[in-house]
Amino acid sequence: MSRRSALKLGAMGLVPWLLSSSALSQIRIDSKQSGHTLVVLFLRGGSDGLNMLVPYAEDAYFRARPSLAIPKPNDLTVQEQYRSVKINDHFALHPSLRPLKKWYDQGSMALVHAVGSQDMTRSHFEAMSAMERGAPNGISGEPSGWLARYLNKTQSNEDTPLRVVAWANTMPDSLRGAPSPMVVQSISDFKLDADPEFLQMLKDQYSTHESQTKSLIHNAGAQTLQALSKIERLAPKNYQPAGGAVYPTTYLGQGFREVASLLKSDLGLEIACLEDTGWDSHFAQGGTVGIHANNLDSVATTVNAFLTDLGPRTKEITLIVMTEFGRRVEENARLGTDHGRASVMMAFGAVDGGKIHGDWPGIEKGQLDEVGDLKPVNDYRKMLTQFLVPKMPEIANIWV
Amino acid sequence: MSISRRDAILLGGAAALAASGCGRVATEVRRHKKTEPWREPSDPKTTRLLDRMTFGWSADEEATFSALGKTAYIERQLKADFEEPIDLTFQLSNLDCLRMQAVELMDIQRETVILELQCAAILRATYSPNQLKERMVDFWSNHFNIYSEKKDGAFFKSTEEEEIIRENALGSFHVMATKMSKSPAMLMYLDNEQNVKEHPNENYARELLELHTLGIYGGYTQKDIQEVARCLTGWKVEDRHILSQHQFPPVAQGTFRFDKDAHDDGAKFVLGHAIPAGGGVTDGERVLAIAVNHPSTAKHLAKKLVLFFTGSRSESLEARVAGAYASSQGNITEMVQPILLSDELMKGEPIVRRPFDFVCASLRRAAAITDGGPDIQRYLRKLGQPIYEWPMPDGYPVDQFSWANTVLPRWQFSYDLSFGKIAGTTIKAEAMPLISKIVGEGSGLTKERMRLLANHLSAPEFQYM
Repeated sequence: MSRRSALKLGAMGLVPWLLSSSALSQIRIDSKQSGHTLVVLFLRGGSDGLNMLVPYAEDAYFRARPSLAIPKPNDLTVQEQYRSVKINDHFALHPSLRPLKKWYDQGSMALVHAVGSQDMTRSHFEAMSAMERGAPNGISGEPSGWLARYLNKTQSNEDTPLRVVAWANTMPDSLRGAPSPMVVQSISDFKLDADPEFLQMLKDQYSTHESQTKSLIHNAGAQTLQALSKIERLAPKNYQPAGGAVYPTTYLGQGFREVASLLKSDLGLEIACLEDTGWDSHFAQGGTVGIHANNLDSVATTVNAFLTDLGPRTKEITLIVMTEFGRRVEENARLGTDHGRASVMMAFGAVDGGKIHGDWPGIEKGQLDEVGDLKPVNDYRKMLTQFLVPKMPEIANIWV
Repeated sequence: MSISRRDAILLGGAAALAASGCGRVATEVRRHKKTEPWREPSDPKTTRLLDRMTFGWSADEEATFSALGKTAYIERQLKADFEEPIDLTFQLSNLDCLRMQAVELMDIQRETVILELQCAAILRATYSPNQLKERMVDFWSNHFNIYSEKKDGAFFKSTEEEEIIRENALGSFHVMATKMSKSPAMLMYLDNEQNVKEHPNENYARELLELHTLGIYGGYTQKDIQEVARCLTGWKVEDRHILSQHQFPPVAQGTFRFDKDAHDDGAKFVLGHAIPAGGGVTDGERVLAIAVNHPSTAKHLAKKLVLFFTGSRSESLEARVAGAYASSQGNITEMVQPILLSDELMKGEPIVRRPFDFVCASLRRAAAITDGGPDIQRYLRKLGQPIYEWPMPDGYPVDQFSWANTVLPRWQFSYDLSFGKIAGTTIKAEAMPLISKIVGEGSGLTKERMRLLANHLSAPEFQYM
C-alpha cells in the first residue's frame, strides 16, 4: 500500500490536468497486460476438495468416507456415470465435473489440491476474510482486498467505468478499497435513470472531438456514454452465446453469461467477481449424487458454457474458482463433512493447464494435521500468483 | 454530553427519528429561511478561492466573503469563529452518536451509528459557516483514517472525531497526533490492543511513522518500527468498568488503558534517541514527541496539505509550509495560511472534486435542504465514498484517477437532486437557475429550471474545483 500511494503521488506531480491521450498513455503507472480479464468465482461455505478431485489411489480416502466416497474411475460395480473421471493414476474428478475434463485435456484447465490459508480457526468468516484480503489469516490487520490492491497499483487513464464489476448483493471484501468498483445484480443496473433530454445534453457536453484535448472527466464521460449505449444495444437479455453454449438459468449461470457478453463487447472489463453459496455441507452432503454433486454440476455446466461461448477468447481470460477451506477427511455422523483447512482451486483460460500444480501431502494417518484435516501445503496466495503472474505481473507485489 | 443507558432506551423514539430523518423540525426551520436566489459567481478568482477553502462556492458564501473582504474572510475561517446556525445545531442534536459515549452507543445497531456519523459529516460540510474547519476535519479524518466496519470502530469513531480531530483541526498537530495515539478507535483499528510484550504487533507502529508522522521515505528503518512497537506494548483499550471509592476517576470502559504487565519495559532505541528501561507509559509518549518533532513530519504534512488544497506538488510552497510547522511547533493554522494565499492555489490546474466534495458542493450550489439521511447517503455509496468506510489506513485517495470513473453516478445524482427524487432533500424553486427563454408557465417553468440545474451540476466543469 505504501508503495502504491508513493507511486500515485509521484505520478500525480507529473500529470498536468490536460494531456492528450497519447501523452497520457506513456505515463501509465505500472505495466499492465491489456486485453486480459480475470474472473474470480468464490464458492462460499467451503467446498469439499476431496470429493472434487478424488485421491482414489489412497485407501484412506475410502476408509474415511464409507458413505460419501466417490467410486474409482474403474469401479465396475457402479454405472459409469457414477464413477469419478480419471485425471491420472492418483486423482480423478467428481462425475459432476465431467464437462470440464475436455478443458483439462486441451490444456485450458489447471488444478491444485490442498490449497488453503494459514487461518487455523476453521471459521467461514475468518477464512474468507483472510482469502479475500489476501492475508495469511483472519486476524491479520490488513483491511483492504487483494483485488483492490491490484487495481490500485495498476490504475491508468485507460481504465473504463466497467473495469471491475462484481455480481453480488454487497461488495465482496476482495474489492474493499478498490477505485470505483461496480456492484450489480445484473449488468443492466449500469444505466441512467433520466429523461431523453438529459441524456442528449450529456452527449453534447461529453462527446469527444478528435481535434480537442479533453480532461480526464471528459474522457470518462465519453467512455461512460459509449458503455451505456453499448450495454443498451447489448440488451443483456437478448445476448446470443456462441458455439452452441447453453448457460444454466441459475443466478450463477446468468452472471457468467453477462460476463461473456461484456467481454465480447470490449468495454474494458479487467476483473469480474462472482460468488456462489450453499457449499457448507455439514449435513447430507451426498456423494456422486446429492447437494454437493448438484452444486458442482452447476459450476461445471456454467464454466463449460462460458468457455465454449468465449471460444478463442478463452486465452484472453483467467478464471479462478476458489473456496475458503475444504472439509474434514472423515465424514461425520450426519452424512456430511465438517470444516477442514484445505480444498481444491481450479484455474481456466490463459493458465499452464492440463496438469495438477503444487504438492500433495497425502491423507494417510500421520499425514494429516492434528485435527484430522488435509494440510494446506499449497498457500492460496502462492497459487494465485503462479496462475496470474504471466498476465498480471503486479499480482506478485500485493500480498501482505 | 453523555446520557445513561436507560435514557437511551427511553429515547429510542428520538433515535429512530434521527435515524430516519435527522431532525425534521430542523429541516422545517431551514425550509422557512430566506433563500438566496440562483446567481452566477461574480469572478473566477473568488470562485477558485471559495471552492478550495469550502465545500463549494455558494451564493451565501460569496455574500459573506464580499461583506468581510478577502483578508478578514480568510482570518475568520482560520479562526473558525463563525456562529453555527441554530438549524444545524438542532439537526446535530438529534444524533445519538454525538451525545453518547462509545460503550453506550453499542446498544444501538452498528448500521444506525454509521448512518448517523455520515449524516453529521454531510450536514456540517454543507451547512457549517466554518467551512475551512470542515475541510480540515475531512483532511485529518482521512489522515488518521479508521474503518468503521472493523471491530468496534463505528462506536468509537465519534469520540475520536469530536474530541481529537474537531478540537484540533486548525490547532496543534502535536496535540492531535499525541491524543490520537491513545484513541481507542485508532488502537483498535491498527491492532495495537494486541501489541504485547510476548507478541509485538507492529501495525500501529508502522502506520504511525509511515502515514501519521514521518512519511514513507521519512528516514526510519524496520528496526525503528520494531522499537516503536516495543514502546507501545500494553497500550490498549479499557475493557473493564470499575467503580471504587479508592479510585477517582473510576476506570471507564472504552477509554485508553496502559497495561503495564503487557509492556516491554526494556531499554529501546528509536530514531536515534535512547529510551532507558523502566519508562512504562512514557516510552510511547516519548515516541510521539520524537515523531511530531521530526523534520520529516513537517515535510510529510506540508506535502499532503499542499496537494490537498492545490492539487499538485510545489517544492517551494512545501518548504514554506514545512518551515511554518517547525517554527510554530506544529500549528496547523500557520501551515494552512500560506497555502490559501499562494499562487499555486490560485493559478494551478483544477482538481477533480471527490464524490463527497461533489455531493456537498451540489447541495451548496443549489441551496438544498437536506436531512443528510439514508437516501442521500446511498448516492455517496454509489459514488464510492461513503464517509468513514475506507478500509485502509491511508484515507480516501486524493488523486484524479481514483475518482474520474464515477461520472455515471454523478449524473444520476445531479438529475435526481434537481428533479426532487432524493427523499429528505429538496430544493426551493427560487434557488434554481433562471430561464432566459420563454417556455410557458407554472409547472413547465419549474421543470425547465430543474433541467438547467441538472445540466449545471452534471457538466464536466462542475466536476472540477
